[in-house]
Amino acid sequence: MMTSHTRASRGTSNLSAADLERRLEALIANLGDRDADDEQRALLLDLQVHQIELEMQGRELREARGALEESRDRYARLFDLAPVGYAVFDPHGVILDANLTAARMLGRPRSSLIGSPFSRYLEVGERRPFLSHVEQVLEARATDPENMSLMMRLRPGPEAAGGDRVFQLLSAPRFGDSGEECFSALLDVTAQYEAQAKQHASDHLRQVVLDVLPEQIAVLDGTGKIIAVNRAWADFAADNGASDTLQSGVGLDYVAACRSACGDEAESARIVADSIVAVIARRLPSFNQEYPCHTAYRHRWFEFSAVPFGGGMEGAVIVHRDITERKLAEDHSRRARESAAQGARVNAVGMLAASLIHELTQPLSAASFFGGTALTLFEQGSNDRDKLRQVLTGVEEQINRAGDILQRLRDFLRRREMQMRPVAIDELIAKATALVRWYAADKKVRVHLTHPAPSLVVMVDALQVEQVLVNLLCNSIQAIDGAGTERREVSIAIESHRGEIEFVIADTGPGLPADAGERLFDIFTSTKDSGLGMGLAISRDIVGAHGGKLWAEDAASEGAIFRFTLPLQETDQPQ
Amino acid sequence: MSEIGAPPTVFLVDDDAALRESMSLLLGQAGFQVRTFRSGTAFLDAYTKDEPGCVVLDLRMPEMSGLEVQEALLRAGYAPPILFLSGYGDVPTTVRAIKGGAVDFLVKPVAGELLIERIRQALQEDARQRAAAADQLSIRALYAELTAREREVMLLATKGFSNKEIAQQLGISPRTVESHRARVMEKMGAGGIAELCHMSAVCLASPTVT
Repeated sequence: MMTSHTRASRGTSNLSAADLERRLEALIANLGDRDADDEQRALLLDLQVHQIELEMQGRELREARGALEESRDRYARLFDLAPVGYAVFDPHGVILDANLTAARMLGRPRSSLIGSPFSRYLEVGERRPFLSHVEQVLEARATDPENMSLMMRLRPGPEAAGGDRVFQLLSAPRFGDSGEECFSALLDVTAQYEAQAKQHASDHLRQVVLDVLPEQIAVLDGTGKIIAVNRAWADFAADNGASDTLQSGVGLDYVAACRSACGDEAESARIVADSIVAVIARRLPSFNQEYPCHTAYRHRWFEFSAVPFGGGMEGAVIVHRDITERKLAEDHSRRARESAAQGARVNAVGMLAASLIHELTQPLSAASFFGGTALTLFEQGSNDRDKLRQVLTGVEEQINRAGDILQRLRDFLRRREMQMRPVAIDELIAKATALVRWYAADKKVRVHLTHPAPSLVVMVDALQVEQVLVNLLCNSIQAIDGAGTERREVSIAIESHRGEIEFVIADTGPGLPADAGERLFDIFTSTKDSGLGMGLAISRDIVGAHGGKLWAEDAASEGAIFRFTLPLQETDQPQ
Repeated sequence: MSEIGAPPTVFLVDDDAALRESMSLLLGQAGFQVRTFRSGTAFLDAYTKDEPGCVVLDLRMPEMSGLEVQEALLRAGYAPPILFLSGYGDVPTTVRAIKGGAVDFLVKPVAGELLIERIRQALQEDARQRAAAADQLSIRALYAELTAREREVMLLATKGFSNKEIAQQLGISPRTVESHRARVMEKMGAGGIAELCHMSAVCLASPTVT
């Protein structure tokens, strides 16, 4: 130990306190026995006292030093064996000291570490950051006494197992034996780092996948805040002039933004907000809605959908998909169908014209007769008020009746967009049969319902379905008239199946032409001069656009049967 | 002449209730006696040829058309004046109706005044026909009173034969022909040979009466 050499040179140093006292008493006794002058004796005595006191002080010091050394050894052991690695660097990054843990972490004996530059054990790219870290730590001594941190990758030494390790260096400046020192703790954060890297990689992968998708995608947390968006989302926001924060969108409360929407879209935005909340809470398995989003330059449509997160996480993914192309294609075919339907209706009315004129002249004639009566009553100076009232009421009723017929005809001929709304099927049948009633009467054909129509409601464009019925009824009446069959009847029956209703129009005509088959519906094929073939083609289109089917078959006994189906809304199912 | 007692009736056949009501009000107000029927069958069931009047028929009716009602009347041997009302006049139908003896064919809507006027004409026609029919009936009744010889003399005389020629044909004396002829003129109430010729034509045209 450090104190061993002093023990040999000092004779009294190892004497116990008791020995010293004994020697002091003996000395004092000797001084008393010898002949000497008092002055000398007094001086000697003083010296001896001083000597003894010094000896005692020295001894106390030695004891204190021993205790100190013992404590220092204990701390040195703690330093060496601490679970955290410690190293002390000089301003050039040379290792001044390192504990055993640090040596083990580096995979090298401590002896080889001390005095060597730490950079030697670092990846080439990590050396400069390390040196500037040390520099910063020492510079910060004056200003900022806090620990500074550096992440770095170490090359494993010969005694280390496994591959590269990642360390975190937590450093503080201190003033040591050789001046400014950088005292650093070394933490092995390889596991955390790898986990984090994995997370980053997966985040990155997710982002890349999101970014390549053309749909605009945002990820919402459980409160409806955006936690991630893809590139399409950001691009769309940028294209539409959103500010930077809105472009990235992250952090924006999407649900709140929807709720605070104003203007035309306020109502649908509120529905969207409610639906997202419902999806996040999993009250809805998912939510989809199509909506228009037109700019000044072009028409656009989007489909919005929201799906909840899987697993135990709260939140939802929302997607805006541009469905403009599909919409335009649908729109195009719808327009084509509408104008063909319009043409077919004009055609049908042309055929029904004679009958319709007759139907219109009925109320006009009646009104004229009522009017003539009124005039006569007036000229005769009649005071029969009851009769006058009856006559004038008759005029009014008949004029209204004529107006209703004109309105019905105008409705049937009006060109307009397809409008789906709930309609009772008995209403559909009543309107269609009213239009063909006189035509049927002229052709001596009886049109009848086999049994009262069930009170069901279908979601359809009433005019178009009416048109299908008119076409099929006229077709049957014509077939019967053309063939001059004995029985002249067209029956309408309604059959309701699961989820759909079927209209069955059966006639007592000659049946389908033997080779007609699908050609019956060909727009260019018509077995009639009046172009009802076109009516059949458009009828089939209309039914198809409503999600139903139209087909024809020969009846078992006589005539042909045309059938078409319409989907029934589940909520409208009876019972 | 004819039985003037019963007033003429306008028989309205139309399936449209408003038309029946308005027309019967109009015609009633114009002083006609009107009976309405909702269908051809209902009318045919109720109609007898003894009732003077005319028929207003809607051409287009769901069960039985106006033309069919007309045909049924003709088959039954009735020929009341028929006034057709039509919403839409097509030539073949009109021709058929006129051939069947329709007196008129009006296209709806018809002005009330015109309808009244035409109905008045139709009723006059009916009255004329009925008067004629009544004449024929009385001529036939008188004819039935003649003896066989008197009928022979009447037929030959109205064919333009002289008394002498008749006497020759019948193998009797011209003087006897003369007295038969005077009795025929008296019994038939004929003012002259021309009238007797008309009466003879009536009697020959209706072989049912003997």
